[in-house]
Amino acid sequence: MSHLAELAVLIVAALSGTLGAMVGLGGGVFMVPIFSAFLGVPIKTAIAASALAVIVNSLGGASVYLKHRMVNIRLALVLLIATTLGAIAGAMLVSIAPVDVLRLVFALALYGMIALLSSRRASSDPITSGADRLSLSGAFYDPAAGTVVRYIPQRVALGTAASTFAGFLSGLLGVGGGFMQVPLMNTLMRVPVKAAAATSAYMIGVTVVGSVLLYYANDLLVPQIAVPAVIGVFLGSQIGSRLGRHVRGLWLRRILILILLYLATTLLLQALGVTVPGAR
Amino acid sequence: MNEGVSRRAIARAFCVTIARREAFGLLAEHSVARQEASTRRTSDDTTRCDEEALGHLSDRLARLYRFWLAIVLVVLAVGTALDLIEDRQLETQTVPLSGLVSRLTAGDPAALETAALLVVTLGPVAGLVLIIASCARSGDRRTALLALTVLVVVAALPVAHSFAGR
Repeated sequence: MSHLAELAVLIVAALSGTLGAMVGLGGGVFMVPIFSAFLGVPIKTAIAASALAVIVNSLGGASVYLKHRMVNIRLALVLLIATTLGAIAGAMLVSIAPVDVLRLVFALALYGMIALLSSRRASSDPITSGADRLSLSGAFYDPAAGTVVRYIPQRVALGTAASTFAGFLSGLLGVGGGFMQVPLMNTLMRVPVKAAAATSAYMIGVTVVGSVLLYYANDLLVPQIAVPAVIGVFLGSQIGSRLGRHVRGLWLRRILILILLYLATTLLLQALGVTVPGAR
Repeated sequence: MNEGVSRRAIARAFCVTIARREAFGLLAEHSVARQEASTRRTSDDTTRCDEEALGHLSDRLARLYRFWLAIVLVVLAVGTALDLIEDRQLETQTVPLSGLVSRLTAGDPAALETAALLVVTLGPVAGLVLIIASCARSGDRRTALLALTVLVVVAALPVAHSFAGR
């Protein structure tokens, strides 16, 4: 791989990190398909590099949420048992799954994300009273509302079971899984969106640790790709989180949906053996 | 007159006795309630941190994560720079765990690069260790146990796999 290719990896990772931070998806959903389809990086190597970048993103994002005491640590730990088990199962599959199957699953996951981004879900109101047998209730100060928001997570068992699948996708695709975890916590468990996003930002870092160690054990972690990817995503997420405040959300969302649609279709066609112009 | 006085005295004595009994009863009830509350508090303390303790834990975790991120970026930059100086390109393979320490002590840039990638991975693990230590010290056994379970799940299988495979 030439220095130019390494530079291309760095630039794509930085752009992915910027776009991801602007919509709260993380860089992996853009990075893995672009690396794989357009830069000629094997999809398994791209997945491993992306997972490592997820940890760096989580360290940066979660530190801010933790400082503002928005992360529900106890709830995160309960859900993490499920997500980490799922992620390890997913990571084990990466080393044995055929490339085309991974492309197909990634394409389907991207279509799912597009559906989530397109839908205008109303945020579920938190439950503030009732039984809290597992002592998972949380509270945080919401500066927008000017009050302390209290909540008691509901349907914990169901939420934990569903988190296993979010973890599985995270391990299989090298993405954070926040795109599933946040709606799951909000709609199913009635955790306020801000607390769900904060808790998810903390969780994704821990979730992918097991996967990354497995990728390392299976020689899928390639420094030539992983190092520029990590540095690029970190720089991109710093830019994205600042840019995101100044860009109109609706247009940004529409543009990202188009990009994701293009990437998903490219991966789907590649998985089906169809040659896509410009793709490798 | 004397009869009236003695009746009043008897009535006063009766009232005082009743009041004393009531007071003792209330005191006794209060004492039982306090004892129950204390028992409840003790049992809560041993199972979970209170809100304030979790808040402090959040602050410590946030500091650890920021510190770790800085370390990661420095180690990654140094490893990459040394590797580029030595052979003008980044490594295409990581150094296996079994030979990592010996190659690190020998000053191998490839080993430093692999170590940098592993340091990234260990950030959230350090967070879990901090949660376990903090909650165990404050008597929050339940949260400490939860974090320990996550740590075992996260580390046990991949580490076993790493040692077996590499």
